[in-house]
Amino acid sequence: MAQFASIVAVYPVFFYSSGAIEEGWKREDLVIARANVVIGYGIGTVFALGLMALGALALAPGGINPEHLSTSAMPTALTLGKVGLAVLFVGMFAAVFGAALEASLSAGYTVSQYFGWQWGKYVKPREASRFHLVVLVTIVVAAAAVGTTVDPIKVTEFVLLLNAAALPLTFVPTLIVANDPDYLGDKTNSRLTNGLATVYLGLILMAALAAIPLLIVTKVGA
Amino acid sequence: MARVRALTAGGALIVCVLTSCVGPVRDFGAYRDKASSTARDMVSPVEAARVAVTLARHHDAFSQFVDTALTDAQDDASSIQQAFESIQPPDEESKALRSTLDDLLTNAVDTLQQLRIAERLGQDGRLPALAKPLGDLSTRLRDFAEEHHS
Repeated sequence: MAQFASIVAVYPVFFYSSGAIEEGWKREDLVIARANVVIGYGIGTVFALGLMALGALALAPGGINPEHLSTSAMPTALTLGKVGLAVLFVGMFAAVFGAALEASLSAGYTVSQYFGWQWGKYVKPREASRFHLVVLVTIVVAAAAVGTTVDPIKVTEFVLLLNAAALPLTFVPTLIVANDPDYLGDKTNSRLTNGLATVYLGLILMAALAAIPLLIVTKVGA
Repeated sequence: MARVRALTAGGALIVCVLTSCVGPVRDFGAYRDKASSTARDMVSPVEAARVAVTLARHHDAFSQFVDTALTDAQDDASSIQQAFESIQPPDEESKALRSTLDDLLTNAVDTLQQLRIAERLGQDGRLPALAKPLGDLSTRLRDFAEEHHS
């Protein structure tokens, strides 16, 4: 469930839609956006499956629970040595740094838009002070949380399960807008896309219904 | 007021789950279950340390990585031991079980500590010899977990 929720999170919807407004995306930018989804998510999924398979082959037989970045990196080191490890470190740094930026900016976007404040990363801090403050406070609070005894892996699992429960609430409005010619003109969803989206909606509804009971039964994977 | 209490209780439950608080144990059966799951949990840092030592021996990882992996393993092992020791054994039978498992846990924590110290001192060559007891320890922890699993 957590793996499923990690592939599709709620916050990127706000992150990408706000970014599209900020950067003034036009019709021709759809090609790049679609390429990002197909190529980016495709490569990401292959890598994630590869890492999970390596973990299952190298860590699971020994009963190792990959609770740290160090243990997660062990299968790569066992297979590819120092060179593989160096490449993995670069990837890990990019992923962690990128996720920190995405999450903090997304917090700034959602809070500012909800309260109707001036927002945007291109707007000067003096003109969008509350937006920039929310972004900075999010980073500081997250960094402070790391310094407590709270297990970051359990926090992530907990948040991902909550994310699975909240996913339909974001997906349904997005799907409705994607079929509205007032917003999208002639770029509304095709029948095929709507068919796939409906199947996907069924999946995330099942995930949403199962998320909270699973959270309680498994004690957040404990 | 009731809503505030419910929210406080919910918040406390979430914090407790996320910080891995250990609840009280009232009978031998429940204590044995805790002991079994503790032994099973301890296998993970022990085996992770063995992999780290293998990587160091074959020069497949940077020394900083091996250091971090051994530190993580030792921290995990210490937390697991502390969590188990914080549980009050409810009867004499439980006390005997605690004594048996505590020997294994202490051995594991001590060995991981020695490995971490040797790595910090740059004595990579000593790691395989220091890690030798870990294989047997891992087997004994698994056997213990299996034997006392209800």
